[in-house]
Amino acid sequence: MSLPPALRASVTPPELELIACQELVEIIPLIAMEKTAFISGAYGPLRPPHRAQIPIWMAVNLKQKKKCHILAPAWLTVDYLQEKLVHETTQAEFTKLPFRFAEISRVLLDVASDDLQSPDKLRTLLKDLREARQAKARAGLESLEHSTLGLSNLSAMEINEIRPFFIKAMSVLGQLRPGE
Amino acid sequence: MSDARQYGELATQLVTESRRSTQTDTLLKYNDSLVRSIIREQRDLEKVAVAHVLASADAITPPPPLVIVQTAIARNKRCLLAYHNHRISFLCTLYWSLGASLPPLLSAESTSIRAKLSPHEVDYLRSYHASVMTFRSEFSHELDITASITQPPKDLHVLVHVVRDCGVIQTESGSIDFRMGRRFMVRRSDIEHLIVQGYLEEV
Amino acid sequence: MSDVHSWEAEYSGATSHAASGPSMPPARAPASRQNDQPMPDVRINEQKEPPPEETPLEKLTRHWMNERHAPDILPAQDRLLSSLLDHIRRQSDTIQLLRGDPSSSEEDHIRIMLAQTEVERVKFIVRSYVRTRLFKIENYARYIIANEVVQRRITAAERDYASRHAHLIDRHFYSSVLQSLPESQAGLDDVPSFIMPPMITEPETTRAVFAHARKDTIARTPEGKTVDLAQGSLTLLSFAAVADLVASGDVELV
Repeated sequence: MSLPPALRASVTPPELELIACQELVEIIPLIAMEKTAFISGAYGPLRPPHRAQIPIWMAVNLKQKKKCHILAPAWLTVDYLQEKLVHETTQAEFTKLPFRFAEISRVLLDVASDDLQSPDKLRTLLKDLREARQAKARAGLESLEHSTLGLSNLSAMEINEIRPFFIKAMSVLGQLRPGE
Repeated sequence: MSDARQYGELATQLVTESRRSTQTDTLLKYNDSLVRSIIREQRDLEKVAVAHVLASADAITPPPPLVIVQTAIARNKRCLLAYHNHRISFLCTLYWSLGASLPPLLSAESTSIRAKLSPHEVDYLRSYHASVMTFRSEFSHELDITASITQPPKDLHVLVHVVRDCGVIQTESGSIDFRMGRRFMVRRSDIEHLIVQGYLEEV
Repeated sequence: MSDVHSWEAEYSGATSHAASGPSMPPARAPASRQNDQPMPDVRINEQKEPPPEETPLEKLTRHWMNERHAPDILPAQDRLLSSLLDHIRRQSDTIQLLRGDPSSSEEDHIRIMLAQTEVERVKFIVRSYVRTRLFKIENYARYIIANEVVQRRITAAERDYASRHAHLIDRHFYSSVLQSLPESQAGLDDVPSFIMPPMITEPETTRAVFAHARKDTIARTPEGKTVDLAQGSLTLLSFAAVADLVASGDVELV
């Protein structure tokens, strides 16, 4: 069949990463580049040391060739994430985080940890956040009573992880209470 | 004459084989003898059913024995079709994972897969391949819908080691003679299918 | 260099993303892509903004994900696909031209490498989108060839594929099983009885999906209940309740 089994019921993390890398990030270029027309848009010109906004995939490429520095997005700082973690562990709702925070932080920490402040601390905070949120998602699954469910502030990666469980649960509920 | 309850055991065996195949992610040999036995059982059941129908011509509702026999017939048929359907789905998935080409599945070298197939399955694969190729031609050669969709592109170029001779291949840097034992730095999209089929190995 | 101009001119036909000048970031990067802001809190901000304008690639990415999550096959995006494929071809041609130019500088090499990388990314998405649809067409081939409503949602090439595929499967069942069975058992359209599911597999449209509302809208469940979907909200509900909204773009599946 034209879709491999792994892709039939969910999206894979590499695919989520591919999509997340279309988002823009700020860089300090180390090379010059004229404004250039790409398929997703026109980027540049790059005029060191002026900052520029380019897609993450492009920034990663340049960074790996040591042609730029990547500037952390406003949310990828110890202060911001620490505050979010406090909310996450004291409130019942999911705190607002960028929809693709898991994928973007992973890519940037992988490739540009030297451009980020306290990368190890960031990793720890992100891990704590994910765990707190996973616990909430599991609890939400247990109290799945309504046939529609509000799930504000879940991120893309988290939705993908809980997807098979929630879909299965919904279908079981649907069978227990067939439509009027 | 066997009890109606014993009908269906063979079909259960067939379904169990499909399940085992899924669980181990391997294709078992086509069970021709089991399939034939079930078909024979269907013919026997048909005779029994017809006899019941004739004997109960005046009845308002079908007699229970007839219902049981008809249920057994229906179930056997479903199991037969499910078994065959499971196998061709498995084969098609395997076909795509090998880059949508037939030789890895059907060539003389790949006796392991070919030996497990029924002649009908070989025919099916050939027709399926032709159908996929027709669809593929709707898109430019550049796009190649049969290329990988599991590995999003990371690096443009890759270092490969030639495991089996593949001859001269056109790449973006010109023609390269991929001889066994050699290494080349090439554009991934030019030779990905050769990695998938085992001619080249990523270093 | 004339090559630069051809690369520039190439793009001037398209709508957004013109950089406003040297050393300034692109003036019209869509809001959704800048710094990946959290989804807007709709209760605070009464004045709703329409969904940000999408580039063709962003549109295709959305349709790709919709197609992956939807249990049914969605309306084909023929025109979008053609225009992106054209763009890919033109970009590849430009790349080829520049690669062959011996006077390329290091800067040009970087641009070429980036352009090639992007082409591979876009091809990947197009490919995955096409194969996702193809998978559903294979699964529901017999259903499709008997259902005109679905046929109108798919391309001519997909219809032909469905037809060939249904025929392939029927032929295989016939030659492996049905032709050896007594005539009364040899059909493929058995009426479902109390223990047998229908023989033609249909898409399971009641399956749950995660719906992200791109604007304020209302979903209607198969049971007749209405569900308010506020812009930016995320809701788990049956696909049938949002099928129309997905088709119109008011909702995307995540």
